[in-house]
Amino acid sequence: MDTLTHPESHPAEGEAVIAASPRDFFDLMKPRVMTLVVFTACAGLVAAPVAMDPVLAVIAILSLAVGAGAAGALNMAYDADIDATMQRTRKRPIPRGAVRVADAYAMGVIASILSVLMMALASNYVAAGLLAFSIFFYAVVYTMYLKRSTPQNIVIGGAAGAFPPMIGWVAATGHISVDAIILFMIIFLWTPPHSWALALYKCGDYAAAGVPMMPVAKGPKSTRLQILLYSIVLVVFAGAPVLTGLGGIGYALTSIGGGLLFLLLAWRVYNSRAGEAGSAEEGALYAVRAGDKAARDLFAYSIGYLTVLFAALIAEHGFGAYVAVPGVGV
Amino acid sequence: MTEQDKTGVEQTPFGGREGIPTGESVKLTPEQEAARKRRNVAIGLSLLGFCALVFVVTVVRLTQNFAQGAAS
Repeated sequence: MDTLTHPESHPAEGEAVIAASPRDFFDLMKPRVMTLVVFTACAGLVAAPVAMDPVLAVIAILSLAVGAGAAGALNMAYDADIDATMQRTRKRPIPRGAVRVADAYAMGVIASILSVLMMALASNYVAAGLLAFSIFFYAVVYTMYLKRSTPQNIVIGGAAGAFPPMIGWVAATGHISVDAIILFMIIFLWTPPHSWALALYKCGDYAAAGVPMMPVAKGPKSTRLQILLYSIVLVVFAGAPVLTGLGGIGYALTSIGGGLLFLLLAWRVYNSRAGEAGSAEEGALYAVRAGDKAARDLFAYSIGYLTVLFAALIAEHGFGAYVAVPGVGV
Repeated sequence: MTEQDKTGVEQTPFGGREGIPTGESVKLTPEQEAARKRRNVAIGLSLLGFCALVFVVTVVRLTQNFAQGAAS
């Protein structure tokens, strides 16, 4: 083959074959997303009413992390064309020529199989099945279909990111309960305002790539309204764990305080002109034009909001800080 | 250099040309060789880790089953 005998004739492809480092492959797994996946899964596992063997619990969480990373690698492989045109993503391993698309697919498929297999061994088949389905949903349903075809892409596709706490819960208990569904729904409802806040100040990026994100397809004004509406539903629903007894006083206070601030920032976005000035010039995640600051603030805060909600559950169920709210719960 | 000189085999429509050594090779730079070595080490460690996890899960599961059997 020409590329073997004369690698210099295809420098980009040849370089990708022989110069990629393990770090490049690790970056394919979206380590920042993996961190949130692991954290929320831990919350689901710790909050579950059945105590799991700690060694098996660690292995189950590790399996989930690898599974999420595998889905990320498949996503990056399929979206390499989009990533190359967007400022925010053009430094990912495939667009910058460090890793070949075929290698990313291979890694994603192998890691998916091994993670599901290990989840089945360490916990149960229901958790393994959910993990397999979440990988399929993210890599195939969201990445290959929804993302490029509908402005509701991240609303429906958000289900993939909502599975980790449910999988953590099911890994411990072996079945899906109302509380597991509530944890799923919190992240499911959190995803639209979180993702659209980012899309508002990076909409030029998405438009250039031809991705029909809500600000691109329906305009910034409609997006700001939908962010506000989803935020209201999210903040109200985030109180549901208190009603079932899953969340105690600590969770209730966190949910109320964090929720009010979330609503305040969503209200600021609604009243701003975020998304109407196009994308920021710089590609950094938090780089923003002056008019888009409210959207950037909501995006950054939304991550913290979700983190403290699940941290409250971990503190209550994992560190004995649970105090039932008087008059509610089971 | 003709194809026949390199392989000693006549080219036919369904001949196994790909599987025959040609004597040609790619010369890797020291950086590329180092990168390949790092990848190989990473794959090796990953496989080792996977085997270790399977072993640990097996031991824990067996321990649990023995304990349950003894209790019942």
